[in-house]
Amino acid sequence: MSSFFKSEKVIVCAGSGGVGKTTIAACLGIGFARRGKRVLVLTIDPARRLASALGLDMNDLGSLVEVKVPGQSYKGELFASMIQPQAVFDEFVRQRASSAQAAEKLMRNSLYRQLVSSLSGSQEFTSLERLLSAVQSERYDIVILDTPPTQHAVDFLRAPERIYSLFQESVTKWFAAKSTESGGTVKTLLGKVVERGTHTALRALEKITGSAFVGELGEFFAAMADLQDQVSARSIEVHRLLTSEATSFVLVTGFDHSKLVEAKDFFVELKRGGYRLSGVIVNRSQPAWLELEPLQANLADRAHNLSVPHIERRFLQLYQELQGYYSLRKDTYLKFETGLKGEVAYCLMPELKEVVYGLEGLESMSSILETKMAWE
Amino acid sequence: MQQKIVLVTGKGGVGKSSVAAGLALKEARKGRRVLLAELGERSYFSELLPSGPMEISYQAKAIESGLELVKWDGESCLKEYLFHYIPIRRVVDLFFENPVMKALVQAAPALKELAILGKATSGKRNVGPAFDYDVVVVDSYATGHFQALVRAPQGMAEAIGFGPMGEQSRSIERWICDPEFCQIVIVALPEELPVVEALELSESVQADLGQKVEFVLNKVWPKTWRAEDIQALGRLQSLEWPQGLSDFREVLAQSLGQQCQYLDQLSTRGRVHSLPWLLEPSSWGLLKSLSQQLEDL
Repeated sequence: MSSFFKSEKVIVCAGSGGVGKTTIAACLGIGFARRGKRVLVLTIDPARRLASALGLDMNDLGSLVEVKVPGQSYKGELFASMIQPQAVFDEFVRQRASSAQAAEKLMRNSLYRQLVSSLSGSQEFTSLERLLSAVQSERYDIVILDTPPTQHAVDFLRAPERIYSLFQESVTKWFAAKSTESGGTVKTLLGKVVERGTHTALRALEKITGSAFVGELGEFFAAMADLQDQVSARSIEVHRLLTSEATSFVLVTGFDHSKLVEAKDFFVELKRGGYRLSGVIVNRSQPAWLELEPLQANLADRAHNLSVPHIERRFLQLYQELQGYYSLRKDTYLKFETGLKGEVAYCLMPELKEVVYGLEGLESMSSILETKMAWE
Repeated sequence: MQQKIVLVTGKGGVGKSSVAAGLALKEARKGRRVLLAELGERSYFSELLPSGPMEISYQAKAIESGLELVKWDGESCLKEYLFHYIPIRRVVDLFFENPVMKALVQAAPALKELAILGKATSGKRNVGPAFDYDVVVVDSYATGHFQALVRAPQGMAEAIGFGPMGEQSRSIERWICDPEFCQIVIVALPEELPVVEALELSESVQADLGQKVEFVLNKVWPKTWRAEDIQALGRLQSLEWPQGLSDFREVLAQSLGQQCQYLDQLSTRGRVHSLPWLLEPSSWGLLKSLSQQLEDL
């Protein structure tokens, strides 16, 4: 088994919803802080208990603040921040629009307000934007990004494309020209040819949505056109950062067939996209308290011996059923592990007996994870 | 019979799909015509079907007597919607091939979400192709995206005001706010995070749609354990037990206690249905057994 980390500056924790990415991201943060690093963990929509363990205030909605996690004593330092899509988007617009008026105009557009609060791609876009600014601030040795909840791990890689495609030259230019047409924009012949199809499409759009919507859309894109160069420059920077040697992905997954199949797909997708995967953490695998060795013969007999008290029989049977259930899952996992052919590091993080409370809880979970990862 | 739709949601990984399938199977068993609709890019059920793997797409397929399975993606729903207004295939195709519109459809806020809810309510609103199911169960998105889904009609109505789509948005919103027609089921596990998320979601659904929800607490410990059973468990002779067994006794007693607490918490905000943890791998048979346990939902 190879080791997880080399000398990364960025770790992206990816995985589908509900596998425990945010908790794992926090544990990795603790691990790096213990090793003397100055670490920032960027979390998205953490559960209240986890947020408070990290010293984050859930009510502090509009903020981009990075807090030093209270109660820590590490060789390094641990910081945490919550990504608020709307705040990140607004900040981006304010900083990068050509003028304060242009920024205001965009932020007042009702489609813009919906875009930043709706979830199709904007969370992914803003989390990458937030990651890039944190890295470029050079305040941290390492930044760990917890990714937004998606149905599948690969959705995270695809989602930003949707936002970027909105800023494509053809799109913004077309709508921008549309909205200034009455102002007498001179169009090239080529432009007219390209647009002919779009005119038909636009008439179709107008028919189903109404002219008010198309008008609003025109304004939205006209305002967006102002940001277009900035967005495409940033998207190139983000892509460069994600595919650089300094960045690697950690895939957090679950202990069942569908999650493992998905992990494998993600692995392939990452490779194809030129990203680096440092390892796979199979979270909440076989519980730490469950032993898979079959019960001794006398106990196994008691499970079905009618002279044994009912509750004891039931308890022993349940234990055996659990053993069977987890044995099957373990077999599935072993096949998956063989399939990795030692290409990446992997570890099994057991399901824990105790619920994780406070920073102390995270620290003890982190210690277990570090052992399982054989992290030196 | 009155048509009814059920939207199933909850935190990621709680078993939304299994519960949705269980509900659909239950209704089909009663002799109703049922549609089970998946959202998202990949079909969860395509590998589990009793007749072997099957490609699941926008065209509904019969998988059991009375039960059809479909996968709705925003773009296909939008396409159908567009075709309803402009019944010229060429124009509709042109619209979706156009790069400008493609980008717009991909990223425009709430457009796809609106189209999906538009499809789910199309029977009631008498738009689009025939949609004559008695029950439509939608295996919907996880919490955050689900909120975006149900807020889409109102948001769109506010953003565009008048025009055909504004009208559509308002009518879709009316229907999903109607408790006689649309039922919302939130799935949780007997663990802290999914329960907290379910409670918070139920509050936001109440605020957004004025709807009460029903909860399904999935994977509760099988069989009933009364308080005296747990006490009896504590008194068992355990000298010859391996460590795993002693640990399990502790874990079981603790989590049975928590389970009761979660049931109480959830029941303050809606009816709760428990589903036992069946301790077997996902299969069509498992979904059928689950459906037996959902009789009263």
